[in-house]
Amino acid sequence: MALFESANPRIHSEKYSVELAFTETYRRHIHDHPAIREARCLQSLMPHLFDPIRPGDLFAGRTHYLPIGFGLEDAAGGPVYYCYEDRIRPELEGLSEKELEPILGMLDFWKTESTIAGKLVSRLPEETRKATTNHIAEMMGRLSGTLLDYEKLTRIGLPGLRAEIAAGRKTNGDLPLYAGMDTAIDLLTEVIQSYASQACELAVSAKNEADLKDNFGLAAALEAIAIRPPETLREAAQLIWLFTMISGTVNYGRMDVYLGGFYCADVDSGRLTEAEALRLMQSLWQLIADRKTVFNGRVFIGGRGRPDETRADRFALLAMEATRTVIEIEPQLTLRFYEGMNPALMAKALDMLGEGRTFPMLFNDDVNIPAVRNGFGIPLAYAEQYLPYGCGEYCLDHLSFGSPNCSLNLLKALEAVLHHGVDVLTGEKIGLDQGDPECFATFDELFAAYRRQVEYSVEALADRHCLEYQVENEAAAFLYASMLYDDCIARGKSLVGGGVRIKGGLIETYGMVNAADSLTVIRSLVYDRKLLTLPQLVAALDADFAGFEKEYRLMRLAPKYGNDDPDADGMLCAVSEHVASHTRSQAKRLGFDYFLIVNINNHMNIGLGAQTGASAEGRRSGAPLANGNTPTAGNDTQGVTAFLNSIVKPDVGLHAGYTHNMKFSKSTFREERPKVEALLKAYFANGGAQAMITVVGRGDMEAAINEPEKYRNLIVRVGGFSARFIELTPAIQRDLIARTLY
Amino acid sequence: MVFDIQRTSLHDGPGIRTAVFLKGCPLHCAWCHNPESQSRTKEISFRPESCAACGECVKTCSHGAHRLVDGVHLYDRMLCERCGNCVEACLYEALKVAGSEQTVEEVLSIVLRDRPFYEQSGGGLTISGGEPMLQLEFALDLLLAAKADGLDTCLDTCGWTSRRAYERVLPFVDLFLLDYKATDTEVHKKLTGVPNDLILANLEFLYSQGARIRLRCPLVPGVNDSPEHLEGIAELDRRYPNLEGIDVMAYHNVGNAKYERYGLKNPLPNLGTAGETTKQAWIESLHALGCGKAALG
Repeated sequence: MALFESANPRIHSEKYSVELAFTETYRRHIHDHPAIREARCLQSLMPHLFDPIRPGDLFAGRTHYLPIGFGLEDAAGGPVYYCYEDRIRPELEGLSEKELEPILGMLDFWKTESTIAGKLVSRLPEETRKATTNHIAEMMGRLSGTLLDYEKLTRIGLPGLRAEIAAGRKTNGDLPLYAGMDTAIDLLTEVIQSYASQACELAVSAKNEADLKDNFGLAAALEAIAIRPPETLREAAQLIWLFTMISGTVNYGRMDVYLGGFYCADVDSGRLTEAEALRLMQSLWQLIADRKTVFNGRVFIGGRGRPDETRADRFALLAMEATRTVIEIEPQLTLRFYEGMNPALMAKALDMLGEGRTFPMLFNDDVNIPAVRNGFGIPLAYAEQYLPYGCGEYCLDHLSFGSPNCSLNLLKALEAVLHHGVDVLTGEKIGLDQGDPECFATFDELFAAYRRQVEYSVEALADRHCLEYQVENEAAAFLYASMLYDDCIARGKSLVGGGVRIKGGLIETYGMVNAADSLTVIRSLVYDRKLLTLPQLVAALDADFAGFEKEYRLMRLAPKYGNDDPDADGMLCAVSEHVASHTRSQAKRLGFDYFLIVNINNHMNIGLGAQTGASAEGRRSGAPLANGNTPTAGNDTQGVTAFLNSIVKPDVGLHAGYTHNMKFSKSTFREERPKVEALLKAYFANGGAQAMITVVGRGDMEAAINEPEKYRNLIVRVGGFSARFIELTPAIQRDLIARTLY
Repeated sequence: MVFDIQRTSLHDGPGIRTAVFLKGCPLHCAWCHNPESQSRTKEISFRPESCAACGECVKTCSHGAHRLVDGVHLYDRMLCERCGNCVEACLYEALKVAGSEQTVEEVLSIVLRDRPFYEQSGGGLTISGGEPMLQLEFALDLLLAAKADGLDTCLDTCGWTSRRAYERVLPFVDLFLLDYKATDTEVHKKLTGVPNDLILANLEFLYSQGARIRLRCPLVPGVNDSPEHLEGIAELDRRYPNLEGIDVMAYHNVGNAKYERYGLKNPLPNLGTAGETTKQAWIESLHALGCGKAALG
């Protein structure tokens, strides 16, 4: 039951009453300024999304989402105004005509009014739509990767935000954006106060001393943050938590920066014991886990650019202990580190990884800061605020916003080049027709054709990205996120309406390693060694190698990326540099500050692989693509040093994050710990930007398939996220088992 | 003649190392798990389970060593000249070659790729075998080149070669990994094909020259783990107190399959891998004998 619904039983007696009222509010304000419309819609919707305090929680603020609504990120009640008709339709059976009529009218209304499926789609030029709605290039239609200024929020509190808005008004006039923001703060205050009352009631009815104390503490914290800036760890954490939930953001920024001071002050003054502080964080961690945002939920600790490093480090150790003891797949704890940072942090991180946690993920500031500085074209002080949110896409903490809205399957682009622009699995025309394979007389000609296809797709995706922001900006002001993003309040502009200091966009690339390996194989077998003609090779691919056993074997045996092989790795670098540079060059044309690729992974290597026919690196039709910048599962055979040497080769200064998954056996990691530490140290010193490490027993994953109930705690790194192994689909499980274990 | 180059070797000396295995060995230890490393020449391994009987090797072999009879691939080692053409032709990795002619420069270029890992871990190059001293000139050149590049060097040797040879490599080896396989020289002869007197003399010589040495003691359950041998190991520890370590290399039978693939006879076909209890018992016995350095390697 929603927190406020109990106060008004009439509303939820009617099916979809909240959605209907929300729709009515939207309709009433359809011609108002987007900030005003949003504020009214939030007022109508938000109270119904908050759930009562759950026994045992030390913080208030659990939510659920409805099939129609408004939000920021799609992982938490977004994107923008949305309507999931497919979730409503099956529920309508048995309703009377009178009950049905308003609901059907509502569904009809959102067909054209929902921001992505309605507004955006109707605005897309036909060519852009075609070029970005196929298995080479696709758009997700979303807003993702907001990183709010929690440091400011915890420093100045809600009253401070109101003061900032008032100051903005003085400079820029009485803009609707400010009115919307004020309403949004009022609404959040109401939520806080409502929870405070509930916490009081819980305290009064508590059955034991401990519950009484917890709930009084909670009530006091809530009452405090409604009227003043937080003063304790509990108050600060409660404030950021409720702000997170109402804003719809799904990553948690540099928590050691914004909570470190509160934590140290509490512990040093004796207000909290270490154990009590840990208990608070464990409760916060559980709330984060229960949101199930899967690819998100990042909490960042460590790294350069933290004003009070000593206190932040102390909190970082506490955060790691919380992650060690709350065995969940979120928060995705992420440790930034640099040469010279307090060694206790890395030592603790490696202990945790050795225990089989997949956290923290490790990000090397000494490589990433210069890389981000170059890639984003920004000053050092900004680059120090890079954060790899979600699956590992870099953004600048509350300074930049760059949603990764597009996916680009580079292997599929190569497939199209070899097939007159036709999708071999569907027969649809999806790319440029660049002639018959036999017309590519040299490898350079083939590679040029591949580059043309990629450039065409990149440009179409860039155009669409730009249009998406426009449509999203016309729809809403994203009031909560805008309040905590530089420089929205000062400029009087919203997050995607010109407010954010650094505006960007990202393309998620997939199949980069596969495309590179395929090109290596084609160059070797067709053009250098002349063992096959290109048409022969394509015929083998079209048959998914059936009847082409010899060709298949030749392709399998050819060199592959991941073995420190100069030719294969060189091709990966060429493929990487091309798509990265071409994408980067689009920013100016779009009016963005940056437009970059990432080569991360979620589970899309499986899905996109299923849409891609057989490929020349000896990959069968439908098989998964490689994961991020990690070699294709099982193709790295020359030992971990060769693997680590390969993955540092692509230029890090041209993109916004490549992920590197690596699996170590328990025996190596635990029994050879100093050597593993040296291995990682050397890798990072060589230019290794990041590592996502899973330490797993050789037979654990196989055993987990047979006896899943015994392996509930087997957590593995899939790509840009961690997962309970037993909850993954068989296809992903197989992909994980196939990856090399060092 | 290089038998294999293994990168990220974690168990052949300190730190992270690249182990270069040279082919050929004067000993024929009953428990050898790299039997293909014993001869000085190339060896062809054949894995029937990988063979698709495609006949590509038959076409390419000018010596008639490969035949297809009723769809079954027969490989006659007597006719084989070890030219390796069949390995090139095999698309199924059923045929593989052990042993390749490589120059010092070629080997070193691979070794040097992992230099940062050596520097971080205190690792480097390990020359092993087979018995690397059988290819003294190559081993020496490789050691010289490695030292010229500032690499740490280990030599993994069975001790069965002339003192003169050790004199020549001594200045370029940072650490010797010296095998000690049986205390009773007759037993040693039975198990390895040679007595242990020369080995002990070389140990004495290297130690007297101040060489850094780790003793590597392969122990095979029921074969060379007698109390006398354990006492013999402890005695060496007493005699040479500055040994850097005594590594007990417990027998495992992972190499068994190789005997078949290379058409070789396994002298200990039915022996199981040493269990944890056995291994711990060895270490405890050695410690009880005053050999506190002994550890599982």
